[in-house]
Parts: sequence; structure tokens; C-alpha cells
Amino acid sequence: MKLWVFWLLTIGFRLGIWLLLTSDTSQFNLFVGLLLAVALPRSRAIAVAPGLVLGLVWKVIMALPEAYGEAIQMLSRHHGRERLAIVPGSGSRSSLVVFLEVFLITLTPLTIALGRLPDGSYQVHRLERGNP
Amino acid sequence: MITLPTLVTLISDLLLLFGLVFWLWGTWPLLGRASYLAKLHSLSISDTLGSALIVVGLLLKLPREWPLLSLALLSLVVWNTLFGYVLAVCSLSRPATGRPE
Repeated sequence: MKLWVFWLLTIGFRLGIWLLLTSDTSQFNLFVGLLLAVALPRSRAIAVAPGLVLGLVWKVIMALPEAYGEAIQMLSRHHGRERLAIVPGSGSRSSLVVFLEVFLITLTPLTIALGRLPDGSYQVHRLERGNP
Repeated sequence: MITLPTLVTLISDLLLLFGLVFWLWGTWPLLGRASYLAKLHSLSISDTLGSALIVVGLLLKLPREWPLLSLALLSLVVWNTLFGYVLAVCSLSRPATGRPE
């Protein structure tokens, strides 16, 4: 993703949060929100393919029903077996991509990310059906 | 004959109820003897998924408060998930190191 596109998305995200927080779309408030969004410090972003980010955002949305499915599985059957696993990642070094990947793993209740390995994959704590 | 407002009230009540069930069910294992990480797994059910159901139920009940409720929904889901990750990583004696730049 080109850096200026990333920057625009950041501004849009901050402005969106500001508008939700104030629930006021008057011109003055829009101006104040825009000013704040620009004034807040920029993160040190590195270029990343937009397809990768969009794909991950889509996966996060799709993971929501899956998370509820796993919650119902945990409610109905005892999940007592714990296991450490390695889940492959995209290998991107962008903090946004790493955030989305960790979020994706941890959102579903049966898996929690424990950290990123040097090769870009993730160490994951997984809960499985059965007794310990 | 079920009217639309009755149906919406019914759905939002059900969502609130399921949210409460998720909350209680996910918090109960905290008192047990399961490992720290196993407790975090069930806590993410109550924290993230239960709270999200409750906020969606409230969203149906109070549609005019949608800006604040949707902000609450977003922050609850993002924060609780990331907080679970941070707690899990902090529990390790030697966390995996592959820091992003």
C-alpha cells in the first residue's frame, strides 16, 4: 500500500472515531475532527500490499460467526486439552498486518496467539475437545 | 399477530439474555483449577462475544444511540481481544520474539 493511501486511511479512521464519539456532523465539528486527526502523531508505517490488508480485514469479518460457533462448541462440549501449535503468517513486517493477524487468531475463543516467531509464523495456544 | 416492534423487542431481549449467559459461563471457570491460559480462552467468550451480543441487543433497543453504541462495540471487540493476547504473552516466561518493525 502506498504510504499516502495508508495515511489517508488513518485520517479517515480517526475522523470516523471522532464523529462517532461526538455524534455531531456539523461543519465546525468536522473541521475540529479533521484538525485533530492530522495533528495526532503519525505511526511509522511501512509499505504493504493493499490486497493483503483487505484480505485480512475480510477474514476478520468472516471470523466473527466462526468465533460464535466455537463459543457454542465450548459451551456444549468440555474442551480441556491444551496444545501449542504454530500457525503460518504472511511474513509481512508491517505492524498493521501483524496486528490483524494476531487479532484474527485471538478473536476465536479456541485459539490465542502467544507471539510471533522470527520466520513470521505465530505461536498459538489451542484448546481442544477432551480431558487434559 | 406479531408486529415489527414486538419482534425487535423479542430479538433484543434474546440477545441480552444470550450475552448474559456467555458472560456467566465464561467467567465461572475463573474460580476453577484450569490453567491460566485455559481460563483466558473461556474469558474471551464472555468478554468479547458476550459483551458484543449485549451491545447489539442494546443497539436494537436504543437505535438513536447508535454512534456511541457502535463505538462501544468496536472498542469492546478490539480491546478485549488484544487484552487477551497481551495477558497471554505476559504469562510466558520467555515470549517468542519476532517483533514487527
